[in-house]
Amino acid sequence: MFVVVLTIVSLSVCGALALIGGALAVTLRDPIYAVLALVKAMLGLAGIYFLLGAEYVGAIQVIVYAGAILVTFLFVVMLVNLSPEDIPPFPRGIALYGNLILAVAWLLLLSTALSAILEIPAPEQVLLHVEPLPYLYGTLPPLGKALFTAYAFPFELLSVTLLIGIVGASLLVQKRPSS
Amino acid sequence: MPIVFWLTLGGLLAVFFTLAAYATLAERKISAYIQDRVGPNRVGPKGLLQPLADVLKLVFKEAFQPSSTYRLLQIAAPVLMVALAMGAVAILPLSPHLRLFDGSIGLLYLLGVLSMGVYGISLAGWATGSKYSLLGGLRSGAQMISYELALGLALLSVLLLTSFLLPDANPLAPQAIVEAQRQGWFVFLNPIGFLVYVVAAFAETNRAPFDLVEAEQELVGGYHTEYSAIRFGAFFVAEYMNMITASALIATFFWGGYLGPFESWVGVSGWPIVWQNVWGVSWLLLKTLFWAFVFIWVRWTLPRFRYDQLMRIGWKVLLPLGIANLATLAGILLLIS
Amino acid sequence: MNNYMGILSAGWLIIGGALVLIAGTFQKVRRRIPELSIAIGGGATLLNGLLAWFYPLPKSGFFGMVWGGGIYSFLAAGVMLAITVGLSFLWRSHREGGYRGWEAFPLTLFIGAALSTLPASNHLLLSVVALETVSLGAYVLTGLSWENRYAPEAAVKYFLLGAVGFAFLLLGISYLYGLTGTLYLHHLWPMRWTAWHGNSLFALAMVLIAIGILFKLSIFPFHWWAPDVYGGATPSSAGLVVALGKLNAAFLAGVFLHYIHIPSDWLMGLASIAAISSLYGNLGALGQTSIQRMLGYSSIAHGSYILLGLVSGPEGRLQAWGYTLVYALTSTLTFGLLSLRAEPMEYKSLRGLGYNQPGYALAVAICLASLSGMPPLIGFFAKYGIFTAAFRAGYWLPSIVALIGALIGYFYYWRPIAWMYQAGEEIPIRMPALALSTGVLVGLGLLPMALWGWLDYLYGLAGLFLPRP
Repeated sequence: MFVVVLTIVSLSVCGALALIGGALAVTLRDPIYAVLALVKAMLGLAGIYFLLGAEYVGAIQVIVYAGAILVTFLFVVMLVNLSPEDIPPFPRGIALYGNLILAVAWLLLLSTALSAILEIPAPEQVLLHVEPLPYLYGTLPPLGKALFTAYAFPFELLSVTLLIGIVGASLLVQKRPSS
Repeated sequence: MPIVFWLTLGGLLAVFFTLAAYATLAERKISAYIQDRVGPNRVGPKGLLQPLADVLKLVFKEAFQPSSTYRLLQIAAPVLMVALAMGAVAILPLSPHLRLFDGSIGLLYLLGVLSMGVYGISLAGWATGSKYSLLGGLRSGAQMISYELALGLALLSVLLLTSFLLPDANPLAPQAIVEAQRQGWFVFLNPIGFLVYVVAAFAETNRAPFDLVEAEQELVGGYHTEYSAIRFGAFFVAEYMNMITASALIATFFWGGYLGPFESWVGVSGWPIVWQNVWGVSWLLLKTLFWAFVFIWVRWTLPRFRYDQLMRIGWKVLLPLGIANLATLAGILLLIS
Repeated sequence: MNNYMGILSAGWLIIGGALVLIAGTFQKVRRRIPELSIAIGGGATLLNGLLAWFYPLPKSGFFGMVWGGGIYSFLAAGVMLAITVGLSFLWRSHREGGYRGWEAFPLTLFIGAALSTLPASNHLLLSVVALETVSLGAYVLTGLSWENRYAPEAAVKYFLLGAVGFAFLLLGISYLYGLTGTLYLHHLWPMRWTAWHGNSLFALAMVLIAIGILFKLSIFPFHWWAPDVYGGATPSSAGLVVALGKLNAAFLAGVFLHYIHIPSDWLMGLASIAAISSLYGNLGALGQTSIQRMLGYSSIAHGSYILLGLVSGPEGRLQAWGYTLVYALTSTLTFGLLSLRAEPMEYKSLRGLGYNQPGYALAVAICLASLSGMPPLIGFFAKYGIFTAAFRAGYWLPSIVALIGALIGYFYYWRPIAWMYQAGEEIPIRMPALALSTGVLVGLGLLPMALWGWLDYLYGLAGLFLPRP
């Protein structure tokens, strides 16, 4: 019982971290604080993954998102060296309507999630066969095996995605020939 | 939690702090020796109390904040540095029966902590609002990301060897990496991976010849130009902590960790557990000290790289070398099995 | 062979593209990159055509991840034909300058690899990866030009809004995974879907996925980016960008609507949205003065026809896929042909073209007429198929409204043709490459029914007409 309560409390804390971080990342005027808020959101997400038993995904979340991608964001923000005064203020109308729409959407989402928890049909009601979770679920060995067998093709296709990203970036930043 | 855990934790931290403090003294003494000087010798016998005097001095000085700083970030950055520098030590296995960290992700934890380390330096560089600091922070951001790749590739080759030698163990557990080296230290089995790892580790700790981040001839003090008193001291200590951690990790991943030479010949596994622990910890300590010495030795011997050279080494030499090494190693292991 | 049939085309294109990329680093070979890429793309078209011909029964392979042969190879062949045509127009612009480097060619080959995988995917994860790979490439192709100052703006808009749409799609699919525990389409298909109807989480997942797909297909409430993006895109690659976007969304939506059972009133709602979108797109296109922007607005209308087909049962989905292929090919040709001229794509710059460059003007006229749906051309058969399917599926009102929209379309598609055949001052035109475009269009226009019959036959063989459990 104690463990269950502890897990729920920790999950809520991590969720709140992620949520607040995300909200701050959008609303903060200073870009550097916005990036740091995003780091906080990522760490909160990683915490949720850890608590749900997906340790590998949690670690990767920290290494890749917080440790590499957001460092690049930080790098760009520092390089551009924007101060809060350089950023034009948010148009009032957009801010108002945006907040309204967001609030409505959020309430809808929340009510949906709450009501859906009560009415989710049992797995055997929907599925023809219910598969048990694989051995060592959430850890590296089954994940690695899946990546190199069943999911080999999407995995390799992802490398093409990255290649397109690299080639596209090098294409778009080219300077016009001087001739 | 068993009492052994807390004792280990306390002991590890005490040794770690002492080592970091005395690494500063060692650096000054060794550099003096290399440059044919005497070095600090006033405080205590042969200058042995010098670190204590330094800490006292730093604590009692005024911690100055320039007017253009982000106050919160300026204070948070050194704290973050020290915290992360301490966090990485936790994964070291101290002996076959003594370890702190027992999660299934092992090495990934280490990579996570290392990758977060860049925030400390970058934020310190940004927060003080000085151009020199900003340049130092930017350099560190680019440098750490570039060399993390090579570091990760070298670690992958270690994982490959571990899972080949000990197929049943979780190769991510540092314990398994050391145990696998009972059949041969990885520095001999995987020399190129070792080379890549050592170079990348030097760059990750921002030590010479990769200390572009705080190159005093160009950037005054780099990211900590505007820091003084104990906040500067935190950066100073964090640098040496990182150095000690990096040495211990090199020892663990490539030099057999807590394993001594001729382990089976001496018959360590038959000893009482306490003596096994003492044996393991001593070997790890010895190897760590040796590598810390190498770190200092290199700093006072080699000149610094230019920044373009640094980037070229990272992306065009170490990265391809790491990939080639990984592929070759995988091929060889496939042939053997 | 069976095991690898599904990845044959993608493998050919990826390896080919990588070779082109390596070859491009050598200064001497670099000039030959476009020809090489077109050869590889043409080879992929041929390869897929042969696979469809010799293996009409599709085979599942690679751990049940992808399908190969049969209808899947046919669709891939169509995709690669459109992409090869697009590449040949890029070649012209590439040679005449004002245009970024040779890397666009291997990039397009990689896009082809992902896009020819999309319809054949048997796993939603693979579908999503392929979709995003194609989209990423399309964002880059949008902003290729140095001459056109709207191109970078269009590229950034496309990138940001495309990413938002993709986020919706991904979130919806992750909800779906959370609810069902599987993303394999052959596991999703036999599921007892009626148990989910009325469940609000399932509804949420479906709404999110629908928003994502409508975004990609540029349907009415999520259409606003289309005129800016397609109207501002680099002219020589705009046709390709339009084609990629539509093919992407149509393939994913088709797979989705086939394997996941959606309540019929939802389908009716989607059909109504399609009808509104058709009216909106066609009316918006009426008021434009730039041809490219007009084509951008009309892409909203074309998206609506595709959606109307997609929701009209298995036959409608077949027709919608056929329509998308035809639209992709025709729009690539139209944009490509128009981009061959140095002038901006305005109506009035076309004046007198029919007398100065009769062959070129005829080709453009044929393309535009096909887009509008003139009877002897392939565009007509495609539209006819969709509307019959929609009527048969019982969407009377939406079909009639969409049909009215399509009739409005005749006005604006024929306006540039009318401009071309008005007498006017001499306008110098750079020599266009015509043989390919006219050949393809006339060829397809002459034997559309044979191709259609083949597609129908393959579709039937694939067992996609199976009744639902």
